[in-house]
Amino acid sequence: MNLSQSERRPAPERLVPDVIVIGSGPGGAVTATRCAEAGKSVLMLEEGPHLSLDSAPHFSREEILQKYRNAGVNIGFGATKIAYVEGRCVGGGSEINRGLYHRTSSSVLDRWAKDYRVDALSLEELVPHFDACEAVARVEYLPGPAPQLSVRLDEGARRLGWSSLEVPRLYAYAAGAAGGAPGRKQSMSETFVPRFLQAGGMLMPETCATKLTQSNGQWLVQARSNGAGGPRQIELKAKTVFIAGGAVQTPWLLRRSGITRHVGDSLRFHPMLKVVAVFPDELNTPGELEPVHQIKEFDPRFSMGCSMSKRPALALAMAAHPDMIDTVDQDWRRMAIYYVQSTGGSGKVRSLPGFRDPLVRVGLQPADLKELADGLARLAEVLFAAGALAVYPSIPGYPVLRSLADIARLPETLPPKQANATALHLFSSCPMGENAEKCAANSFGRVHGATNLYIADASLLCGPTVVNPQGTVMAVAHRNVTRALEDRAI
Amino acid sequence: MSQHFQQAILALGETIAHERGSVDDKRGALGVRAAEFLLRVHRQMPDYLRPPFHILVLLFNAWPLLSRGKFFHQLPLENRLSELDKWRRSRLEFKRRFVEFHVSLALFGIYSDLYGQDYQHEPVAIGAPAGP
Repeated sequence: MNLSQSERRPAPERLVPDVIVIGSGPGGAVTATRCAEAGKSVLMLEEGPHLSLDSAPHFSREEILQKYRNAGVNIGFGATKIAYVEGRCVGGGSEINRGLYHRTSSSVLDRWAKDYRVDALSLEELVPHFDACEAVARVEYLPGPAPQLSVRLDEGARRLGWSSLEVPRLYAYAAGAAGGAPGRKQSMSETFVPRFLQAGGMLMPETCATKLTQSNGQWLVQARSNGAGGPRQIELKAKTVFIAGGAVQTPWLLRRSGITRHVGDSLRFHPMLKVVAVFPDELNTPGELEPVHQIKEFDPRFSMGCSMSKRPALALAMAAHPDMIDTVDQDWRRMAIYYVQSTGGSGKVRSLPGFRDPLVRVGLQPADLKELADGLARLAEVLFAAGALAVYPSIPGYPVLRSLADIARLPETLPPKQANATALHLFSSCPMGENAEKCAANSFGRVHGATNLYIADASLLCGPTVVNPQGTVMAVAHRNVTRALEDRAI
Repeated sequence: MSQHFQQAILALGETIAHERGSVDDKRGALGVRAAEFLLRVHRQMPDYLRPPFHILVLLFNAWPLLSRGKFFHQLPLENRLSELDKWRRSRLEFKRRFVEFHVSLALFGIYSDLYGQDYQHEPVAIGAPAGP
């Protein structure tokens, strides 16, 4: 595709584009596309490779090796360690997530606007930007009945009188597509990146920006590029730079570049625990679409949902119960993975001298651990209401739950060293707003104290979105770049 | 990566594959494939984690020298299973975490080999646009 298109052009490092966008995930791809379609010359850098959506099955071993940063082995250090994952390929996190989609709630936006003094961030003001993004990346509900393991969660919630809903996905479902594919996930590599290239944008994959400096009104981007001739150091120039490396990589790059004020100090995330539930009847059917139901009864404290439950994923989730691993071989059709995620916890991102990878430190307060423990108990409760025979918490040393009475015997709080929590959504490491005591960037993403330097990713969000954050990241990026174009700041 | 490191990971992969109760002829090959996956993960993990993890693997490999006079990778399968279980049940957190880390990844690799067909999809009908 476009890689050959870019080969016909001069080497990107010999160009001086109007705009360099660092990172091609949801924030970067939306920003770069908007700039390119406005007639700007744009170079988008991506540290990872440019792979098709089909280069590996979703959540397979191959996908983890190809598209996940550090093969998925990222650890937030602290009394409670948190494992987290990031995409590292063209399209970033949108290539590896499930694409579950929400618009941000007005209560979340109003809280951010108030606490961080963010201008023009009401839901009403953000709606046109959601609309614009959804016109490119389609958001759809399932065309028919949801998978059984998804329906089962919904049924359990209804029996308890809890609020549950089907969540739409960034997905274009297709009828009888060749090869058995059920449609196309609307990841960035399928939506915004092709539009960006069609608008004349240049994409430089396998290129990691390592430092920014400003000289004579231009930003110099030092980068390490892995081309056909092997790794080499390059230097790129542009008047305007957007950084969109994600909530960990963006503060890492800014701090390496000497920009540290409120940068990387306020990382937030959605800590998540998983369980495997075993039912009396078969509900995990090969070839079914991904589950889509979520329980919102306890928002914003915690929410619950279903995970993709193919046998490799079941084995991973059951690794906390190694004596029972063979049940995956025997009973997998009766097994499914569910999760509870909360909003507690915070962290810091730092660059380590002499090392490429950022150090992430996290802290979960006793109240956060108690919240997760409550969420785990509620999740087990709804699964028993749904008819589960047994619930295996994916926490080493935790007992198998076989009845409601067993839930009462769970520890009241999570032991910090045992928690085994993961974080799929990271944000807030460089929050936006006019509050000088908290914010790294202004209300529209421009880094405080810098000219023509913007942040365009989940780092800007002022706190947990409570729901899957990709829709918010895209809409905020669209809002901010639109403002910069209207103000002729680019 | 040193030869001892690779031998230790290979032995670890084979041991984890045999720890599964399912008896079949594939366990040897599955163990090798699991070890290859573990080696890839070790190569790709954050750069500041690689040296300590490397040392931990070498320590794990050398631990049986004290009691059995041989490296882990030199032990017969039965003794390897016993050593792995001792680390899993150790009072020392770093030993338990070492086993949890490698077992979970190795199992993911093994089940990916066994059940790769689970990733095939069936076609479905056209979806409905989501409302705002």
